[in-house]
Amino acid sequence: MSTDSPAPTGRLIVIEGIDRSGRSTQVRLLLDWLRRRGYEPIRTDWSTSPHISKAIHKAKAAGELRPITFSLFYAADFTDRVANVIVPALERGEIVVADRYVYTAFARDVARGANQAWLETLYGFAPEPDAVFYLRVPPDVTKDRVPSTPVKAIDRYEAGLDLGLSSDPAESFQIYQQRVFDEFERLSQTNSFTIIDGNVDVDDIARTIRTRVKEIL
Amino acid sequence: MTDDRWPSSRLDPASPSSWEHHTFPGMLITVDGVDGSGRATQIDLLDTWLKMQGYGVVRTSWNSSKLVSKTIAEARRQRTLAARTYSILHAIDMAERNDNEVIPALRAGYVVLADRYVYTAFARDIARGVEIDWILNLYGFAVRPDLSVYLRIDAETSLGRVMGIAGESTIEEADEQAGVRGQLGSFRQFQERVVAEYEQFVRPFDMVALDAREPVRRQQLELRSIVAAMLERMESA
Repeated sequence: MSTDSPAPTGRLIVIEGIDRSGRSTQVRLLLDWLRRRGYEPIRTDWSTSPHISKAIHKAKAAGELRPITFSLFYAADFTDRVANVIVPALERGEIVVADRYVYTAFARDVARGANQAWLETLYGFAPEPDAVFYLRVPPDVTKDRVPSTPVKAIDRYEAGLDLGLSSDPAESFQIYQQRVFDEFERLSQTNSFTIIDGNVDVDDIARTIRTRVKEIL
Repeated sequence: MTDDRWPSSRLDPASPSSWEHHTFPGMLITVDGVDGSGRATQIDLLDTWLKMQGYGVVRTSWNSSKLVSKTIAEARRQRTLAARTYSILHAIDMAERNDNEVIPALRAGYVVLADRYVYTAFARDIARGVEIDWILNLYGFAVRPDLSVYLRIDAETSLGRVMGIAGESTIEEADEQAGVRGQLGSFRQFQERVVAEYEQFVRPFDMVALDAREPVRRQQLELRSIVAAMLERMESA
């Protein structure tokens, strides 16, 4: 990966993992800790660009997103956040904490049939993170977890229902999340992730993350 | 090409044969060129002529999919979109029309006339500073046209035509290039860049370049004779 602008002086910290792996809890704990230490970290979450996320929600509600369109919408969201949030903050020397990064796009899109090389070029402009924490929790554990944000029903795409894997939403969810998990596992072999067993105590995980973050600050 | 239309072939002027040809019974004709090059006029005339010959024609136009055209228009007004985000939104528009309009029509044997295609995306995005390799990769899902027409015109003449018709506020690219609205000098520079960027795709992708400063009728007759020859070849095959 390269960056759109030379030599940013900030730090980019990424927390990755499948849905319900405990990502957002760890992001919140890390942000709290950084603030207590006097930093003013910038947080950026997946699919939160004001320009694009509205269009994604509308398109999802219409229920007709093809895998390529799904993929491109999230890429558009990401490019917007890189240009307007991540790169400017890194240039100002700030700490950026990202709840999901390019790896989520890689894992989901490859699970939907995308070509890895195509994705790597598409996301090739993204700044290289200083640390990637991968919360490793297999889907047979996450399936019994309560989602952190209330959901009315299983999200059509979170369950991979657009892929026709199974007509049973619960079963489709399992198959799709397993595929995404398998991709994360593969990505963790080839990228320098800090792999964290997401199945242990929340505070233990937070401590592991803080220890590594101290090193890079 | 796979059923879910993930990019499977590579668009690269350095190796044009790596862009796969489609196997549908229909024919895809694309017309590219800057605003003021006479695209709409030539497409209208070709459309009428094809229909008179008994062919079924389907037209598809740049930035017309319901999914993103509003988002693009809104962002254009706010002038806050990064060049790359803008590129991807246009790619979504094309991917949607590819799946909903172009491919179904080609499969059913229609002649599809596209008002602007990947070459316009390439030329405009590269002129805005997006890397060529990135933009070529982005459009790897696009169906390769059977005929790509390029209406060649210099920036000066095309600007003169657009200004003459409607005045600056309707120049689409002026809106797209944040910060240049009302400054014809820098918009002209942008337009010159776009014209220059188109050229690198003409030879590798066998685009038929028509001199868009010639009389409308002369261009149209040249276009028809090319299309007629292609249709004849297709039918005898």
